[in-house]
Amino acid sequence: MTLLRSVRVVPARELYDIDGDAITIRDLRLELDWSDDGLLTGVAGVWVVDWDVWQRIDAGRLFHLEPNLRGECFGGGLTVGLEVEIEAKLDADLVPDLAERGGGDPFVVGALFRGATSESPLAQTESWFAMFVKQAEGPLKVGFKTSWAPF
Amino acid sequence: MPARTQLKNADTGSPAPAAGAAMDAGSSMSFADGLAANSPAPASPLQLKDSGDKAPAAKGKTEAKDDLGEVDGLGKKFQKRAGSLAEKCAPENGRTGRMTVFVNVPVAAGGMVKVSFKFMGQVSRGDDGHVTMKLQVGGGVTAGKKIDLYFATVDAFAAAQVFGYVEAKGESGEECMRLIALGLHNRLSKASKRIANAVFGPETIQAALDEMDEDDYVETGLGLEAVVGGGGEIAPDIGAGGWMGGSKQKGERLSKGEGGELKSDKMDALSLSLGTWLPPFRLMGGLTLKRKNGVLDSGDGSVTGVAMMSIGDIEGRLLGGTFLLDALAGLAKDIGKARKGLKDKEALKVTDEMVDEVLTKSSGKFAIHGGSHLAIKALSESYTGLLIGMSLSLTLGWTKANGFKLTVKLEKQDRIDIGESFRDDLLNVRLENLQSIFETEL
Repeated sequence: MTLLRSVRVVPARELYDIDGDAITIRDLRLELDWSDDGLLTGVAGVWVVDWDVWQRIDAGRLFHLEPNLRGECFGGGLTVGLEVEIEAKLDADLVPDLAERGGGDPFVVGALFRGATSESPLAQTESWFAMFVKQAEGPLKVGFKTSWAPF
Repeated sequence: MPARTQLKNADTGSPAPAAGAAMDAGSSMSFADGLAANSPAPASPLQLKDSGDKAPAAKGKTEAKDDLGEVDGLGKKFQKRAGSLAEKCAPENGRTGRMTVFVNVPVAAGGMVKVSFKFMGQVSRGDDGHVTMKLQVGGGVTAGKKIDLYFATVDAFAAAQVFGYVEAKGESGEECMRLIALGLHNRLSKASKRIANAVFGPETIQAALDEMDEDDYVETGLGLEAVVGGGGEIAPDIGAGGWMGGSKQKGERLSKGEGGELKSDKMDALSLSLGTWLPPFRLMGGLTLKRKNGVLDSGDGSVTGVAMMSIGDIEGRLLGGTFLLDALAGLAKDIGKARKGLKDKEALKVTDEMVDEVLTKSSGKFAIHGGSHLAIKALSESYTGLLIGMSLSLTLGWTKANGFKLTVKLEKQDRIDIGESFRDDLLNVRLENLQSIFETEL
């Protein structure tokens, strides 16, 4: 059986920072890694935020975006006003429980994210490690990667 | 200079990052760092190492490194070779691999000043066969002597800031590399056309132009300048509503000129969109006008009608003789009969099967299959249903060069909603599946 690797989850939802303040993310998609025997081994999320939300993320260093972990930004910086796409990896400690509750079904995994309450670890910005921060530039997406990226 | 190529199968998995992970030195390489440490090793044949005992490269991830040594520029030859390496990293749909490419480009004929690039990152091939490259671009400028050209080159790279993260998606690895090279060239040429041409070489531009048909172009930096709009419910009692919006963008378009040269035009675009919904129907429209160098160049207007119905609704409409899906399918057949060149040669058969399937489901015999079934089981308490629908899009495009073109697109949509109300309830899920029935141009 071929397991889905990409699942669209929700057009918009909120994540919560360490103070409990909410930020709105849009177009949440999950990229799922599976072992050969169908076990969920990794979860990455891809979403879009408006520029003003990005400014909060940037200033608050949410999603573990500490400045010393950021690589060079293509073009010298992000373009002011444009929406920002963030690709982040879920904390590895949360994956085993998710794998168990998800039962090897990508749609159930998606449903668990969609229904995660404000107290759920899945809905905390601290549970996500931003790997790529990017914006569309013509046919390309450009921006910066962080030390959390797999390369 | 000899080239070194190495491919190995590294069953690395993809562990989530651990707190406190060390900074990857390669990712922060700036133009000032140079790439002296990346001088190529003695030549060796292409190697494919399998880290497992079983079928080589069938499992895990492939990691490929290639030091191309000195090349004339980041032109077609480079793109082909780097693209080929990427293809080896992700030879099949669903595969992911890692690639690293080093390359040196002499800026002057004497090779006194060199620009080095390092492309390092991830290559994946999606289920649709398209290749996605996620690359960290690093590099440096080196010179045997600190001559003027060295400083000019450093200045140009400092101004262009072409090092950082780049992501491209294309039909092949080569196409991805072409897009990336063009993006780098475009930025660098804004800082210094002279240095850009020296680094990328005329063949880069020629390669890009060779790949372009007369109508092809690449738009860069089409950044959003302004957005206005809003919407809401018009008649809350029956769930009807609408929205309206507009945006303005500006950027640059690269295309093939009449003499075959690369042409750069200033572009600005004005987009208007509006829509309305009256369940189960939704109607969306949009108009985009693009101006080239201040003169109207093209326009696109589109209307999309969507009807999403529950099984109960479909049954009712069937009984009433107003089965919208049937009507749309009939339209699809008529268009299909009248036109050749359908994207999907099996379109008529597919359409027939789809109608049969919907008819069968509407008689209460439908079954939710695979993962959807488990998803619904998991949240059965708040499950509201399976919706089946069709989307018919009519797009009328106009370009100054080619006149009008009408595109008709028909898609089948399956949608599963879990929750009480998609728009009001925070605890709901919407899973959608789109299946293209056909697309044709009239």
